[in-house]
Amino acid sequence: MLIIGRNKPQTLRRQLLTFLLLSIALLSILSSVVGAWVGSSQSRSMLVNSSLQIAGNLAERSVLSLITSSEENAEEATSQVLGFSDVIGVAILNEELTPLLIKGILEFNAEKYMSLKNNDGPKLAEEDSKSWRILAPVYFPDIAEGEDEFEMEAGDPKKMGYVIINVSKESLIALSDNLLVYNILIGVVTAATMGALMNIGIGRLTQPIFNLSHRMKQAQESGEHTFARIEGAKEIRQMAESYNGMMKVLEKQEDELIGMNVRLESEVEIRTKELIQARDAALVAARTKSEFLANISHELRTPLQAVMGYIELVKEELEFEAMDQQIEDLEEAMKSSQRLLALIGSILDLAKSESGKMEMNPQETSLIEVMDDLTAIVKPLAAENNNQLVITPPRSNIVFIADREKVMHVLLNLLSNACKFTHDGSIEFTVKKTSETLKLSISDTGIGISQDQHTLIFDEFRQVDGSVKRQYGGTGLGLAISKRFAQMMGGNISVTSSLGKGACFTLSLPLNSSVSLEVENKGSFREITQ
Amino acid sequence: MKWNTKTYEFPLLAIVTWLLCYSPAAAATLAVLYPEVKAPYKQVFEQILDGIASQHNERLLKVPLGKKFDKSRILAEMDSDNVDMVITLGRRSFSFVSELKDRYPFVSGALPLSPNGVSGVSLIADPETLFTRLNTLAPKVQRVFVVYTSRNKWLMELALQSAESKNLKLVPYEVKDLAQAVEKYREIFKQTNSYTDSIWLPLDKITANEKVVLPLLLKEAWRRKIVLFSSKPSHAKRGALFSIYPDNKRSGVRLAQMVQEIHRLQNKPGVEPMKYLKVGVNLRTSAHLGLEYSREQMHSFYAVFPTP
Ligand SMILES: Nc1ncnc2c1ncn2[C@@H]1O[C@H](COP(=O)(O)OP(=O)(O)OP(=O)(O)O)[C@@H](O)[C@H]1O
Ligand SMILES: [Mg+2]
Repeated sequence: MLIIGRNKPQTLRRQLLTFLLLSIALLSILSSVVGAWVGSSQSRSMLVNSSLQIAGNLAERSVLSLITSSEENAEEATSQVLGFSDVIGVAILNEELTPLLIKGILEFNAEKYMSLKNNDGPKLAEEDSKSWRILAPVYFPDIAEGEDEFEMEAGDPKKMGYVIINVSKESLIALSDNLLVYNILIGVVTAATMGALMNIGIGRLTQPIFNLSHRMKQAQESGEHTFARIEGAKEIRQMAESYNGMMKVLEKQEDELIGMNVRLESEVEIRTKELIQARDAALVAARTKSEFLANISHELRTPLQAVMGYIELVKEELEFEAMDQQIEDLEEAMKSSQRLLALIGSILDLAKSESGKMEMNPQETSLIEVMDDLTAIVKPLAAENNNQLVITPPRSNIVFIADREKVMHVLLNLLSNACKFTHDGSIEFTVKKTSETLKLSISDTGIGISQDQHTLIFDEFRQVDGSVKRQYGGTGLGLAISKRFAQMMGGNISVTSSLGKGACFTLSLPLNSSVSLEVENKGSFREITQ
Repeated sequence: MKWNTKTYEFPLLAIVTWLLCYSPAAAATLAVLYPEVKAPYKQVFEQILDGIASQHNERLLKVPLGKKFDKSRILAEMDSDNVDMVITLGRRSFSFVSELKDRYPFVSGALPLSPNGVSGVSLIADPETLFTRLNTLAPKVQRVFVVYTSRNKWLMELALQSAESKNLKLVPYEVKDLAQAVEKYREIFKQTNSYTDSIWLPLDKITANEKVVLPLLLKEAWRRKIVLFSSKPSHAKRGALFSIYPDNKRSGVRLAQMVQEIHRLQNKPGVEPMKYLKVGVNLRTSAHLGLEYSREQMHSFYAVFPTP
């Protein structure tokens, strides 16, 4: 349909109305034009016919004037014809088409009529927009058929001349104009009346569907389940019924949904309460454990330090008496005590960090200084297993904010592990810096760690297998503490290694971590060229 | 045109003529050729045929001719039908004349015949009868003007004699065509006197032309109070004082008599003008001319106009 607006959807009523109105308008215009055309063509043929008749009559009346070649007779014959309002000109011509008389408006040109000389009766000879010219032959008067049986010779009609009448089309044109105007007027009035009636009719017809759509829109906007009135045509009733059915189903489903929701919510609440209880219990348990560990370590360290003090005292006394054998035994006891003290320290550290009591002490830390200190400590360790220690300091010093003690602790642990698990090899310490992280790697050529152990070694008290403890000693707490420290500083420790091929542990520290942010305005790090 | 409104039956006369002409030896076949035309002309031929039949009691063969007919076939049929004598009626059957001449005794009718070797009854009224009527219907008339063409010349000779015997002065003018005729009538009207002069319209296509001449004459005659009478039946109705109606049945009888005579006696009776005439009178015209007719006269009229 041509009338459906493409941009803005129109109402059904308006579309129907527009379509019907256009159709009616088209119909009425068409019918009025056709009516006018038929009417005017009919009256045209009527006028032509009556003109032909007038011409025929004139032809009969003109006989005398042609016989006598008398203009007076011609005048008399034509006067009546000119009385017809449509006849505006008339001519009587002899057989050679020489005019005997021309009256009124008639431009006569003999040549035009030459070809029509053989016509038997009146004929439309010429036509232009304003008038017709009709040519009628004039016959010598003859007697009727049948009557000629009483004559000696058969009658032979003889042409004596012609008459022409010029018939104006004015009245015809006026008539057809009037016809057209009246027809169109009637058409317009009819179309307007029909339009008005249709407007009412379509309004009535479309009201139910309008109501339905309005109700649906309301339902959509409010989200409520409103029901539609069942009215109007069969289809609309069906639509309304379907809509109401849908609404019913929706309402039922929503009710069910609400019920389910309520049940679910109460269940979630119960579960959440249970979970909170469980978590709280776990937290309490963990804290209790850490607190216990911290307390026990402290309680263990004090008597152990007292034991070690007495061992030192006894050893000094024995040196005076040069009792070398006993001194040696005491030194063993001292060593074991020191190991026990270290173990207790480690457990204390671990417990402290787990219970959240470990304090961080961020400060400006110079990497070169750290490395120098480490070198001094680790050198004898490396030498023990005949390892070569390669420490490559960065080309320019890096100063960053971190807890210096803990960084030292982590790196020392990694270096001591490397020295411990490597024999006659080399240990390398390298530094790598990106814009965000500082990566400190310690790699060795020692026994290596199989792939499946890579995550396990960071657990507390975990060593690769039982033989390690026997062969290398240790508690298995070093990496666990180191990892915790690294994480507390916002960093991490990672390992790459495979069995028998050495290992590489990397401590990565953020350069602008939350820790370092606190002193950022002082410059989180700076590079010092050596 | 009511040519057949009244038919005069003369049973006694018919029997007498039949007795007179009857001869047992002449048990002969008569063929009548006539045209098939529409009413009202059809009745004319039927009336003539009636007359023939009443005169000829033996075998009568009616041969109607359509607009187109096969002349040789009709002739052959007549031969095989043992036709003894023939009557032709009207123009169509008159075309058989040259073929009939040497084969059968024949006469012609229902035509304005002039004497030219053919025998028959002419439609042309006998001037004597005509003038007798004129005398009784318009007694004041002394002069009769007539315009004619060459075909009617023979009639004028007859008419001159008849007029003299009826104390009338006949003034004939011969013309060649319609234009001349119109001109001549104009001249005539210039010299006519009311009531005592009359104009006679003979049976002539040109000088009594119905479309051009008649309206002209009617108008002028009415204005000048000239008596106008005609040999053509229809003219009384149009406004002539009176016109002549042929008695068709009687001319039929006469035709049969003539052909029987030829058959029997091998003679040549020639052309007879129509002697058996009836008259139609226009009473409006007569009143205009101040003419009054007695009851008996009125009774003798075959037709009166305007029809009451
Ligand atoms: N560089 C290394 N090469 C081979 N194995 C290693 C290396 N470093 C650690 N390991 C393995 O990881 C285990 C855990 O190491 P961790 O430092 O935690 O414990 P430890 O060194 O055995 O004891 P502690 O460090 O407490 O004295 C070690 O027992 C060892 O099996
Ligand atoms: Mg270790």
